Amino acid sequence: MRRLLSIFLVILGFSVVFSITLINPLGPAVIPIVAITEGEVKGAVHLNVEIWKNPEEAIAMIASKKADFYVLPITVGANLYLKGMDIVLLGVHEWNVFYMVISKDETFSNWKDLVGKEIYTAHGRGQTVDVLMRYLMTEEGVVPDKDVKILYAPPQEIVALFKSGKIKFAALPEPFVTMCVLGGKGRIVLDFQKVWGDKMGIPPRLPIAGLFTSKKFLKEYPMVVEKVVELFKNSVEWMNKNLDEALVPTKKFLNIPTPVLKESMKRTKFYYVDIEECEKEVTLFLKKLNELYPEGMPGVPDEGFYAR
Amino acid sequence: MGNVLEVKDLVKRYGKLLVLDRWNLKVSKGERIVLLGPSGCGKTTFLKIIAGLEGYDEGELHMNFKSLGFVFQEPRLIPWRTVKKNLSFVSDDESKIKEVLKMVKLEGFENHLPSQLSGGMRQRVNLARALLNDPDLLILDEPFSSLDLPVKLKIMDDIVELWKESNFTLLMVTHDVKEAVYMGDRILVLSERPSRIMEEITLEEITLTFHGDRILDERFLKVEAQIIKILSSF
Amino acid sequence: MKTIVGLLLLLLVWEISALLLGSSFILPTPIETFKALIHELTKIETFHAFLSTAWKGFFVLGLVVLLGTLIGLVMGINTAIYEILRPVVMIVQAVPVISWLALVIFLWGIGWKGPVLISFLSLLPISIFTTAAGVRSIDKDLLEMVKVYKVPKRKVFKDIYLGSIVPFVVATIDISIGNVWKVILVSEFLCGDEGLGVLISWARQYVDVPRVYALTIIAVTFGIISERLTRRFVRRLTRKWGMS
Repeated sequence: MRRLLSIFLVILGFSVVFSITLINPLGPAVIPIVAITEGEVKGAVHLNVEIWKNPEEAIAMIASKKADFYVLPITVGANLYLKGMDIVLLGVHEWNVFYMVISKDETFSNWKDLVGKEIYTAHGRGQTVDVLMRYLMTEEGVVPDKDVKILYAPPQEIVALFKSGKIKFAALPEPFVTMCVLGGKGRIVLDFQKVWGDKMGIPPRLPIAGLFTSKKFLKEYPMVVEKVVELFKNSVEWMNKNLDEALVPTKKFLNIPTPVLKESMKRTKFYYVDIEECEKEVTLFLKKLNELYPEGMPGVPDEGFYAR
Repeated sequence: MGNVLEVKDLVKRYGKLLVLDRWNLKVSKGERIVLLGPSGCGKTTFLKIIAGLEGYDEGELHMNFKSLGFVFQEPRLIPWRTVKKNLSFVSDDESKIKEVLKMVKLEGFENHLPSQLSGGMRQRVNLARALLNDPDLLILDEPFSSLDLPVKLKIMDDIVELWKESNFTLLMVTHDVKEAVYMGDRILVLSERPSRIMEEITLEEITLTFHGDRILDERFLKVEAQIIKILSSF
Repeated sequence: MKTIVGLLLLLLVWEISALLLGSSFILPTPIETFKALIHELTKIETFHAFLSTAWKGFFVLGLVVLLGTLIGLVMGINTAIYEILRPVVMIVQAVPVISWLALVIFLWGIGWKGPVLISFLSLLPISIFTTAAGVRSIDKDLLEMVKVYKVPKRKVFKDIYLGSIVPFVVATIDISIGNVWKVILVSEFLCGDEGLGVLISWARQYVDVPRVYALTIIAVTFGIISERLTRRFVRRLTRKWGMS
């Protein structure tokens, strides 16, 4: 009896002391972890979820050791690894998100149609879709910046400009894509994931975001990592099975109306793939980014970047 | 008419406040009139009315002069302009400018900035500016109050000399009895606000003596005492 | 000598803080930053960005001084206009940069006009108020003097009004040159298509913190140099006109 009690106390103490923090970006990527925050899925470990709004916040949390697991864009994770941070990729869970929209009175059959025109894309030079877009243009003999003017703006502003008819072409991530076309002001003409897949001879998907942890943590608590990954995987699956329910609590975090979010989820693909099964794709992706814009991806992470 | 100025029952108010209480005076050409009164009694206000800066409420005012020169209490020079440029505000005539500077004994100082001159010199520029238009009427508003005695005496002498030469009508305002007796041939003693012209003292009998002699002249001292008596009876 | 000691002290504090924080993602060491700085200076892209920021800054400065002085002059001379325009100018002064952003992006999207307008609106109110205050503080005695002598209005305006406001225009330039770079960089960061502010926003995207600091150093250095040079130039000009 006493033995059972002491084991129980140890486990209790263990779980109380051993509270693990996972940080997740604000945005539609919140939906896959709603199951964890709302308690729909439970695991052997207690996971404390914190939301980060911008990369600096995430880095601060990681650097100050407040976070044990981090959901980050693959490119950000790779950059941090190249700059010497102790980080390792466990798996990729966000795969499809980038599309091109054009206003309803324009046509698009190939990149040459953009010559002499402007296209807006989010954030800045070197973002994934920016690099891909430039690559695709160049492949068709269109010179970026010279033949086509590429402009960068915050995605919300791009949506506003697009809907008011001020801009005609934009390459954006979901849910901003849906926000642009809902209402009939425009339509989607290009799936970047499909084009990437076609060019590379791989499935039409891009490794957008994934789950990371530190190499140290992985080495010291491999069992815990396994449990967290399992929990995470279940959460993503739960979302896919119960989308309507998953969208309800997001009202707390996101300002996007639920029907818009739901529509955007048609084109945003979340499913967890262990790194062992997609390492080659990720490496190919990062290699291409490095080749096309070394300023944004100064190198290619070696195998130390991938969890074993 | 030989009268440069005729004032009949002049009344001036600032709102409800009565400042000038029915002034009556006549100033003939070539006179040296001094208005002597305590500070704040309204004598500067009267000068402003003559200069066209203020209006009046009751009475009549007839002015018969072509040009006016005004010597202010402070020099009122533009600090970033030379003496010459300051004078050019009134007249561009270079020869005239040279002339007035000579009159006030400031030849050679055309290109000085006011900051480079002493207080007395700045006041002389003030005077020079007033003389530029060959004024028929020269108005002086307590022009010596900021000056040391020796400087003051010098300037007073110079003004009277100039008056002798050009024969303009001089209208001065002061609260200093000595200055009044020195500069004027007719002194009008004013009461406190609301001011009225209480007494009139004529100094025709005293012949003009200069360079400080007048101050020690018995007759001068007698008039001074007379005025002081009048002032203390108010 | 004292400047050098000051700088060395700053570097020391920086190095210690960086070591204490222990992460080059939060605060890179002076050496890392210096390396990034050298790398930046060798790039033609940096030079183009610098020129872009520089011309915008001086353009805004010129506009602010010109229009600020003009409007301030009118407001200072005419009390009715002053009373009418004052609340408008105060409101413009109080609006934060970020609020202009939405308006500006809507008008012109991304480009040079946005940063120029935002910076202009941020700095104009000070210029207007300083000049207006200057005009209102003009020596009343002088104004009375010119009334007595019936001096022509043109002369009064040129010699007294303009002359009186020179120290205030100089003050405006001093204040504005100090602030213009900060505002230009922020507005470029938010809605510019080129310039140092844009480079900083991109560096932030790649999480290249040393680069952010390196670009900041370039901007700060340029800001200080331009401030010194402008001040010296202005002083010399006003001395020539005998007004200092």
